[in-house]
Amino acid sequence: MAAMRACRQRVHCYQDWTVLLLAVLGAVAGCDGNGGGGTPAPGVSGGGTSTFFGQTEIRDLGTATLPGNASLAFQVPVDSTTFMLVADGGRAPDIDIAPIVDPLGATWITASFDDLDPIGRATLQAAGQSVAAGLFPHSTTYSVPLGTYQFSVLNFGSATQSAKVYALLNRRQNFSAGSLIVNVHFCGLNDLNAGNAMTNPSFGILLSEFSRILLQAGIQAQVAGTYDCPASDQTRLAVIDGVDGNQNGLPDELEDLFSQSGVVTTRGLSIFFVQQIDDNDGDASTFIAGIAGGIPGPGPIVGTVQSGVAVTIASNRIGLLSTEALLRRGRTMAHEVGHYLGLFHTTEQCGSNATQCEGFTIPIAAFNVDPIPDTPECPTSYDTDGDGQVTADECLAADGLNLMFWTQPSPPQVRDRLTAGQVFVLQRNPLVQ
Amino acid sequence: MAAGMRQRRGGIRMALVGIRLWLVVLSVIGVTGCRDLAQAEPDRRAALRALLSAEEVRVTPETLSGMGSGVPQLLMEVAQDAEEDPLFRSRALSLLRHYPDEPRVAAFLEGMVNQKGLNPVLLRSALHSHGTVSRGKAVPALAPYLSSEDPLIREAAGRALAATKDQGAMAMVKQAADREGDPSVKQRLQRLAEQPPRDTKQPTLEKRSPSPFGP
Repeated sequence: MAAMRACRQRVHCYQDWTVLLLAVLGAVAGCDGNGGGGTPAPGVSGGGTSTFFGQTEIRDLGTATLPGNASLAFQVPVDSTTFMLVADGGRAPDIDIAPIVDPLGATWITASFDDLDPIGRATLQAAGQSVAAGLFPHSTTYSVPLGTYQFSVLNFGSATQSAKVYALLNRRQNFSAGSLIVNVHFCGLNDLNAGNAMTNPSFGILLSEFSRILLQAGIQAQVAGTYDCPASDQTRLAVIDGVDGNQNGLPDELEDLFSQSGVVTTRGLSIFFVQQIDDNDGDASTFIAGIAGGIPGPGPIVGTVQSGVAVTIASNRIGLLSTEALLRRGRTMAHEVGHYLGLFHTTEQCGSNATQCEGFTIPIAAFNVDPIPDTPECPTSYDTDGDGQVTADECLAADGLNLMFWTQPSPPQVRDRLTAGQVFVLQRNPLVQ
Repeated sequence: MAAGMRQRRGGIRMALVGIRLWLVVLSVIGVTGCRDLAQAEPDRRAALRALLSAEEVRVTPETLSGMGSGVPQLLMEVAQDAEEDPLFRSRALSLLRHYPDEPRVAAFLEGMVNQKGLNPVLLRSALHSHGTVSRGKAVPALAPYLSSEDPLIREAAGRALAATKDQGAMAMVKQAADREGDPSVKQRLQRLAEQPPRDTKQPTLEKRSPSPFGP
């Protein structure tokens, strides 16, 4: 009976009855009689169990054995409004989820990695990553038809590995307001730890600024727990070394840091504070003031090498920071949480219409902006000093003050704005309940 | 005679007028030029600040050269400004390693390394940049930090000495690794001593975006 209910389809946003009929037919065809769970497939073992995070069902679709192309299917049932897909490859690099086809037969993510996907910029085939994650919808330009979705998990390389695959079905109906459970972790800061964080005045300033910005999106941040890095790792993880031995795009020690998210007693988003993240990058300098474990990160799935957000204090003592610096850290924290929940930069460093950006190998301008239509963009014509980058100060008339602009403006300007489209995405991440 | 004097005075007057005119022209050109410089300076400062403020940004030597001359001076100003955010100061110190041919940068970094009571995060950046910029000449200033009470400073000193690519410095790193008591620092120092100095770029495996991780 439950299976029948799950298979009785309706479509969000698609008003056309023909589309509705197709959706129903697709859903019925996809019913597998096990409550709408994942369809067993060659190369996939286990799975079938579910756990819950608030109103989100975390459905274990099994373990994909790679290399190869593990094809899976799962149902978005009648009471689900948004969903996520996550493939956790442990520390193995280059896990992709592609292609993805919706119940109506429309391809959302193509098999090709060097094109712009029909649903817009996404990181399901991003290079290196050990955990592939996608939030749907991740913009206001498409909706989520109910029914059976087909997708594949693969590794871009040829190494033998496996990936645990999850579908996160969000049954939340009211997206006007929600809460975000946060766990805060501290590594190697002399005057800030799990015991004193919530009464530390400097940390209070930082946290208040973070909370203020999220509240603009109707999201109430709630700190569920504070944690210290294990004593044996306090020195090692205080400064994150830049070595990326497994070439998954993240420093190995950042992976160790994010894996600490598995120690929490209440599931939520883990935010880590460290002294510094190393900037040694051969001929170049890579500066990291904050970093998220993906766009989006793997949602409420904790313990993976990408389950978290890290913020550098740039000091061994938070008490040495000025109020302005603390506020800036709070904005960085909000910016990174924005990434983790699914937001891209509104404009990348080189400008919204540029095709040759530092680090980009595919010259498509759509990769310089987010897929959300209502966010302003800053084209190269705003680069008034002609240095090849558009700064927040140059883009004040566009998106220079948007929380997700690539850098912060000069004081007294504050980068904290969010558009309705960005709030739409933030509210739909399963971490927001 | 008097007429001759008048003619000569007239000539001198004309010459003075001409000189004045030239001075006016030159001053106009000068003022305009200064205005250009004054305008360029804030732009360069703002562009630099944008780099220092970004959550994640990769700065190449080309990025810096695209910002024109005068950048090392601005970086040194930021690095030594005690009122400035330590995030910006440490980044400025780190970027100074891209100016190995500027003697004033080498001298500045040596001064920072020798500064007492410097924030450890700034000191770590200064150590590494000094080792990169001054190579073998930096060894005497860097070596004492291998005995710092702060394990992270010992590790940073090892990294800085490795960056000098100096044979004697590498031997010091190896000795420091042998006597190091902190397991994680020991491991890092051993790695530095056993491997050639890391001059490799991060892998550029990017398929779609510069980083799958929230920059």
